[in-house]
Amino acid sequence: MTHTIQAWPRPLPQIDRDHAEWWAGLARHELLVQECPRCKALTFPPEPACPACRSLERGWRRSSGRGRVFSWVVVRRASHPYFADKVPYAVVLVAMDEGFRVVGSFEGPLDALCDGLPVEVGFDDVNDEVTLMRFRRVG
Amino acid sequence: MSPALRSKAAIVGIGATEFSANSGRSERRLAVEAVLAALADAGLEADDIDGIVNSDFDATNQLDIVNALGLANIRAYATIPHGGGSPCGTVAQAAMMVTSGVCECVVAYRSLNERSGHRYGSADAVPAYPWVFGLHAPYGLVVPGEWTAMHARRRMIEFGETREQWAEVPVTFRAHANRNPRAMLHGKTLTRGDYLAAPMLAEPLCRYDYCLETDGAVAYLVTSADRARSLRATPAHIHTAVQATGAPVWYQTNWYRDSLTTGAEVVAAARQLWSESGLSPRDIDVAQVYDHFAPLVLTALEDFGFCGKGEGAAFVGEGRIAHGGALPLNTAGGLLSEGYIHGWNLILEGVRQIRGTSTAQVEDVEFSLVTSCWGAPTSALILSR
Repeated sequence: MTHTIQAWPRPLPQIDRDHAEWWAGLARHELLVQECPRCKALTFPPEPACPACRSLERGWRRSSGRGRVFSWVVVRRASHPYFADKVPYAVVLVAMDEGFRVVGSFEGPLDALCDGLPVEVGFDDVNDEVTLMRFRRVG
Repeated sequence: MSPALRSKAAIVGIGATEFSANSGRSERRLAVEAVLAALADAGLEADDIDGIVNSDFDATNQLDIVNALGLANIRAYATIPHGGGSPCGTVAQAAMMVTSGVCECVVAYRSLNERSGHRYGSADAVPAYPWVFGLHAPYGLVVPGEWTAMHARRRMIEFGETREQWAEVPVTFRAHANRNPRAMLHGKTLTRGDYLAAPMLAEPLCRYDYCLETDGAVAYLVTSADRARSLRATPAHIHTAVQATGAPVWYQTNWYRDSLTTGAEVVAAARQLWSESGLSPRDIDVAQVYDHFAPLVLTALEDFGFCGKGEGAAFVGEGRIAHGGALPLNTAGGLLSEGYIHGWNLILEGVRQIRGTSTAQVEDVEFSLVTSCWGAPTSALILSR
């Protein structure tokens, strides 16, 4: 699977209105999770209503940024040309301490990855709108 | 589908093009070839068709069939959404169109040049990814195999599964494809050694865990059980067909809900399927389980209740899912080895098992199960004699 197209753009999010506040949080280096002002249920990814109590009122809570690896993927052959010179790379699914999960890059040796590995979020600014998450082992 | 509709409609014709890496013709042409083949199989005429159903993602629409075949009698048409989750839902839709009395003869089809044209397994040169795709594509999880690996890893963590155990699925399905001259990989054997030696693409998955990419089309015809009696083919009665979403669902990136190893949508579909059919997994003689990725076959078998959660690897061992086993699966080779018509070719094989014309025929089939995609809003179908 050799890709010859070198001009492909880096994959970025198309930030819609329901996700805009969450991305704005990352841009401030804050990992947010939607918290229902009425029933306190946490919702991620963001939704326009609370799936627990159906309230249209939406609020946000700031995460401590700490969590544990819940699952991970090691990409050994890139499917997208942007990542061709970055393989092998690991992407982690992290269960944040507050009780929601997010995806981010993993910075560290691939053989350190295991279920429950304690990690902490860091932030990489890509442009004015987009900041991505990078998780590092703690402790 | 209400139990009141049970076995009131039947699939009476099936048709397909060859499955290839490069069809050399348009998706319109492929669709029409499959529809004509299904008509010939049923002994019906194009003018008998008064309803059309297809899936989203198709490059064609109903009008392409109408225009190519001059269909002047169409009374209802529908497109069922959610990609690989849709195929058995199209059967439910066709059955409802017929049993409601709106239509007498519904054709359903799926056509794609998915290998020579747009490949679902390849990244797209798009600048920005919408909705939840924007939450993972920037990190390099861009295609379905990379998404599914997250779910597969979790099976290893929770159940201690190994790739040695997963090998049973692709190796068995390949053996079925080796019996099926229509299968893309008819002439290629696959051993456990081949599987275990294959390089990782998105670890813990290798290429043999991935379904094929295929050019081709399939079609089937549904009419009432009454009319089916006068037709030439053994009718495959639509005993029960269900759709379900469960909640929440994010296609192959169901990472934000409680479990990565249980499909809320499949559990919901299974609950409906068994309650509305009055049947249980023990009643199923043969099954075509949506096999976009090998380890997800285990998850689906568990979610449909064929075994307990975490018992999928043991369940598929010892030849149970092979031809001659207690529950032969994907007897034409499945999406892993026959071809990938986005799950629709599984319906045709489910019909063949009722007719007795499979190349890996199970004896005395009374109930033939077909399922659609794990992870997407999904659907399932029980065909009966």
